[in-house]
Amino acid sequence: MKKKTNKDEILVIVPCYNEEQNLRKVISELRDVQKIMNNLALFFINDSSLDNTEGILREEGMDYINHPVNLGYNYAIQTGLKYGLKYRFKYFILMDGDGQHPPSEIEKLLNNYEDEVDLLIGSRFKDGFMSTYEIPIIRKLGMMFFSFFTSFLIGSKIKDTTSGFQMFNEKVARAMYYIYEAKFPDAEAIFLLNLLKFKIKEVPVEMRKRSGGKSMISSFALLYYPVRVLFGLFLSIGRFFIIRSKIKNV
Amino acid sequence: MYELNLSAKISLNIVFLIGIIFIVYLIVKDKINVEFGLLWIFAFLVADFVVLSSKVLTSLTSFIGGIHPSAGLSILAFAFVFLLLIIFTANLTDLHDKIKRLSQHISFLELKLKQSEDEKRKSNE
Repeated sequence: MKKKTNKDEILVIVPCYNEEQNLRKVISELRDVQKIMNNLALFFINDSSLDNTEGILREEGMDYINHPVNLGYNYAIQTGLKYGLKYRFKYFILMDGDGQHPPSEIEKLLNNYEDEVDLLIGSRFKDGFMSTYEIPIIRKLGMMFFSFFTSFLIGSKIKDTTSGFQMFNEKVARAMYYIYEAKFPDAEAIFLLNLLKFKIKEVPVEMRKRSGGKSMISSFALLYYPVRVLFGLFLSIGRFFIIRSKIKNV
Repeated sequence: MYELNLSAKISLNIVFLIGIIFIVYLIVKDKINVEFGLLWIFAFLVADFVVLSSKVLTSLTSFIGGIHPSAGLSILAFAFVFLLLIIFTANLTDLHDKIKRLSQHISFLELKLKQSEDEKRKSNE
């Protein structure tokens, strides 16, 4: 395990929970990307997996951290952000450890990330909500609703508000650290970052269906999700002032 | 307006007394902390005062539009339970946050330990 202090490095944060079926493939693909882009640092968060996720990370010699108890996706991301901010990384990429976000698409994020952009979202939707893979109709309708609603709130078009495949700078990472206190901060995060005057852009990327393992989001959460997101958007106005003051004080 | 009869007052007092003794027992056994225990004892004492003072109970009952004093007592009990639930929820949230911070802190300590072990191994090589 080596200490990362290079300010030019980009930290790829990969939260994992019971991902032994997908992890080796993700690591191998990430290594291929690292061969092309040598300023890419990988950091895995093992959210107290019950399977051999930690064993695989150790065997593969990855930089990783273990949560002693399962804290959930948002706190896994928060831990990753804490690590990145501690070692002063300038840019961050979030991607899932289940293989749904192909590491080869990182190049697309990097190529489309411009200086004036703070947050670049890798969108699974291209023209008119045509996805790179089949999404159940109910879920797609929900995604479309939140896309329209969030776009209306921020005044610019965002198609994929639920995408966890993102690239952002250090300033956004500081805000994200507090935003990820919430359980499903997808649309809420976009709305809050827009209120905080960050520039947000989307780029279409290819995404894959999960090939094995179980999602970190349970089926109950799928029912709870819309209610929570709407409530989160409502609460954002209050949270905006708190987060703004916290970022200023850092 | 009805009033609580003597047997109702006696039986309610016995219930409150048993409640207070049980809470004191739990505090002594460290099953609940003193702050929550005092809250419960305070609630029992307030309820006892309301039961013993007919005027307070009848005023409370008529204030909520009830006729029988049991309605006033029920409202008082509901109000206390709601208050307690809100306090518990706030405490639970606080505990959840503390566990999260603690877990992340442990994770980082473990990482630091791993890093220093690796460095030590490398320097020995």
